[in-house]
Amino acid sequence: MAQVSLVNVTKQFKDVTAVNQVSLEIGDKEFMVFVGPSGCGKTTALRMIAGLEEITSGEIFIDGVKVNDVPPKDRDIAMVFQNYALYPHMSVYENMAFGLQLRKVPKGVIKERVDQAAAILGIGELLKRKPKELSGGQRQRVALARAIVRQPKVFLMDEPLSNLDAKLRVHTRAELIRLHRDLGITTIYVTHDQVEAMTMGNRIAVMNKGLIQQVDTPLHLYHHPVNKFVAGFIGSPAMNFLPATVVAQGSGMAVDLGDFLLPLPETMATQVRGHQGKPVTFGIRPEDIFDRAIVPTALAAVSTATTVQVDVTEPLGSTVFAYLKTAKLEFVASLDSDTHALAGQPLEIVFDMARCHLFDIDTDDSVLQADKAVNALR
Amino acid sequence: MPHISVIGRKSWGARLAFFIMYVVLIAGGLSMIIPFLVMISNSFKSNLDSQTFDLVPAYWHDNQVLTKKYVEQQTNYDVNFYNLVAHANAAMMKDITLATPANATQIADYQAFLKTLPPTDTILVERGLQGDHRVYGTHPAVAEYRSWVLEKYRTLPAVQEAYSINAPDILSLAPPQEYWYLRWFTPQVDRRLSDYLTFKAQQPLERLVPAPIEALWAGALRTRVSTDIAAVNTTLGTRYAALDTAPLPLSYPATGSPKLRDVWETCVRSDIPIWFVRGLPVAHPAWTQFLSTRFLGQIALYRKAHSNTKVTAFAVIPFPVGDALLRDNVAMGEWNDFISDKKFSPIAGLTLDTPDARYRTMLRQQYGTVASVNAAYGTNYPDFATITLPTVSVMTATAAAHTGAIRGGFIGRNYRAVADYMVLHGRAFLNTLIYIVLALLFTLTVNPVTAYALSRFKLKATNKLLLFLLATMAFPAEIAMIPNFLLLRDLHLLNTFWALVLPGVANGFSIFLLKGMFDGLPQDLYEAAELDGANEMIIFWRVTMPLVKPFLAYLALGTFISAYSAFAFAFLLCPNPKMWTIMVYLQQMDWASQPIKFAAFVLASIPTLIVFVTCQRVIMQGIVLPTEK
Repeated sequence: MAQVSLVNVTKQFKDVTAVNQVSLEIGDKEFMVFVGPSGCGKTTALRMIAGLEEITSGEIFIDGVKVNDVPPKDRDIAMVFQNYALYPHMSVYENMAFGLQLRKVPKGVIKERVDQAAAILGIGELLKRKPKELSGGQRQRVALARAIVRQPKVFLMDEPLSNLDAKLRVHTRAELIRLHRDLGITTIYVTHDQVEAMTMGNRIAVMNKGLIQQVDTPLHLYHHPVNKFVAGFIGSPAMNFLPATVVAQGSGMAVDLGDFLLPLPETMATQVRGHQGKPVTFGIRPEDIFDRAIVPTALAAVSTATTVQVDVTEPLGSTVFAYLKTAKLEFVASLDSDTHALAGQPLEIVFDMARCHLFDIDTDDSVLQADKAVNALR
Repeated sequence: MPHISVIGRKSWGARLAFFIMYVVLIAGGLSMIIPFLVMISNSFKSNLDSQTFDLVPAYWHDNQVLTKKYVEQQTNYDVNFYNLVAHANAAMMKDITLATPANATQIADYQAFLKTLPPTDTILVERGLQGDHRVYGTHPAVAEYRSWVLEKYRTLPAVQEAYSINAPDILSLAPPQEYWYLRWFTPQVDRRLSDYLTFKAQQPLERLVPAPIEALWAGALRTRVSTDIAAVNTTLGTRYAALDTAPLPLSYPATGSPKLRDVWETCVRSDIPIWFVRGLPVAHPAWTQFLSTRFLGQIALYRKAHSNTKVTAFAVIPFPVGDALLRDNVAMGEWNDFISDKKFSPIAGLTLDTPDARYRTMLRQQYGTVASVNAAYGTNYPDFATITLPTVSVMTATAAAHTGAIRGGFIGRNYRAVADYMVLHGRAFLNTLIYIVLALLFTLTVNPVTAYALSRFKLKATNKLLLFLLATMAFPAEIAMIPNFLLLRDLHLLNTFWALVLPGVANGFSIFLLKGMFDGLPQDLYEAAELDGANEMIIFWRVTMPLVKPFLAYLALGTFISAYSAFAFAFLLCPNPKMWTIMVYLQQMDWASQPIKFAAFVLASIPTLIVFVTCQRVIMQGIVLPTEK
């Protein structure tokens, strides 16, 4: 089993820096997800670990061995590609056996391991077929089986679910989680889909513009984003960002959003005292905004209500997305389906201020201690 | 996008468009297949029917044509010879009017008569067959003669030595020429001829044609009097119905017009082969006188000239009268000098002894009167003088009696001629095979490897290299032929397989296309293979090559066809016959008639057809690139 470490890894394509000074430790048996928008360098990082791209500077270690100059075939890794990259002219069995044959594994062992991998993924009856005779989901499984049959130190997966339809994607996601749990192989998973990232990863590395923005467990990442990018990238619908000013309000502090004033909880107030009078970006997730009529009692006690205009509602069944408006602001709230919010009608809402975020307007970094504290490499 | 959408196909305009499209496609298909079928059909024919375009040879179902073809073969594929034998004047064999078939009695008598003729008076293979059917001819007697001679002497060198002839191979071993119609032709009494006469004596009677000496009269009239029958009759005071049937007076027409006597004398003194000119007893003294004058009255000189013959006086020297023959060439020379010159021989003392005349004599002895001849034969000869040899009538009857066997022989003979020729040059098969195997081997490695290298390793000069490769397509191969020849000559590679293979190995277009295909393969595949532990060689052979299999099959097919069908180039680069391929040998078939060449083409197209049929499954798969979305 293996750890993977990246130390100041940089990849330069002519005048573009795809990956910039990335340092990361991926623990043994860990499921690490690289997530970020397209062009953020996550795939390049993965390909450097695979050995498919040369490293401009920095070092990569697999299992403590520096692999900068080790060719891909000797790194003992397996990769699942976005398009699966199955060999079209080989049967499923041959696809799975190919890597083992090249490694001169005895025939009997190959058969045993292929059958075993096929059993794990439930593709035992497809072994004789050619890839073009398979459905997308089956191809996906074959690609996975081809990876696990090699019993590599590290699994690399490059958006393996993006070509599946929504239902199959959810199903396969769960299967991948189970597979990782059962096999316990260190896995690095690249995706642009934050839901996949949140549900699958032990830890998530959020990347943007070649830089790792934050590496953390999914929930901590969600609740304590270190900067505006992470805050906005994780979560759906995205966090509302509203321009605000930090003001004093009595003994405490509050954020002035122009149309209304929101008092900050005491723990936060002490941290932002230094920003008093300064403009900040106020961030609040849609699910932290509630209809006053059906607000949880604990919150009702500490919050002040604000009246806004409902512009549009999108009922999703369990929740309702309400697009809300005040004179200067527009934001989204994810309300309980019992809400009486009606388009064109006013609505009284409350903010769960314990969960709000404040970002520096220049650096976009969070100004709250809780968010900063975890911004460290593990 | 279809030009006619799915909806609206039932409109009359669309139906018309479909109809026209189908008609054009069918017409196109037929225009491609019909020439090929005509070639196959013609490959079973001979000169007589090769100018027709029927898809099924007429002689397969029409006995009339079959009979004509049989006559064509028996008269040595020579319409002039036929005209003499049949006393006809046909321009082409296909235009001949078939003679009435002879009945059984006539055939029996005729064959009995043939047996009485000396072999020198019959013709088997006239002039050893000329032109198209010359050496490797399709006349059955030619092939039999070759095996007969070979059986007698065991080896070709032994035959060459015995006959002092230059026959480079067994197929060029031809029967001696039977120049029966030449004045000076006295059959060379040598080993080759005596062998040939022995062989001829064993031949089935229906193959022998008595020398049509009397038909030479028509030629004499044409050249010495007129080609117009009326003018001839006026000038000669005769009543010939036609020139070709004009009977040749066998002895001096003393009662005829002066012009007739004059023409006859000229004809006998200078046209008719001396072999058939005989003396009458009245000329014997003149003969003795002639010889005596020639040898200055000294019999010893005569004996010396005639290999010390035991002759004691000029008066007892053999005189060709009746059945007596002059057997040696010196005597024949003397006879010629005697009959050619008015000074020596009295014209009234000369007579002609033709096969026809002998036939008439036989009939006269056997039947007595013309009436009984006509009764026996079912003919209507007005008198004995008009009776000529029924050679063609017998041929017609023979053809009618053996249609099956004759037809079978005709169907197979062109192919047999080609097969004999190719078997003789059996090395050509090995040469062709080696050439094709080498060409395939090199083409199927060099082109893909080059294309793979250009596709996988992004060289700075890739585009320039491609442009250079494509530029080679701008010039036709013929332009490169001479430079190629010079280059290979300077490399001392002429007459080797390298000369055949190397110039065609790298093909700009194939490399260009293959590079495009390799470029089109998902990069993931290469990377997946790399991660699976494959090195470049394994990726090339086991991942990329199987994916372009349809194109490789196409390339292999093209290579096969160009290697198999190369002849001009192959001949230029390998002038040595030991290196010739099948196609070069086929190109050298200028001896053959067009139908034999067609048979060769049909045989030669079989391997291509087989390869195409086996390859097409792969090619029809199309080029399927893995695009999985």
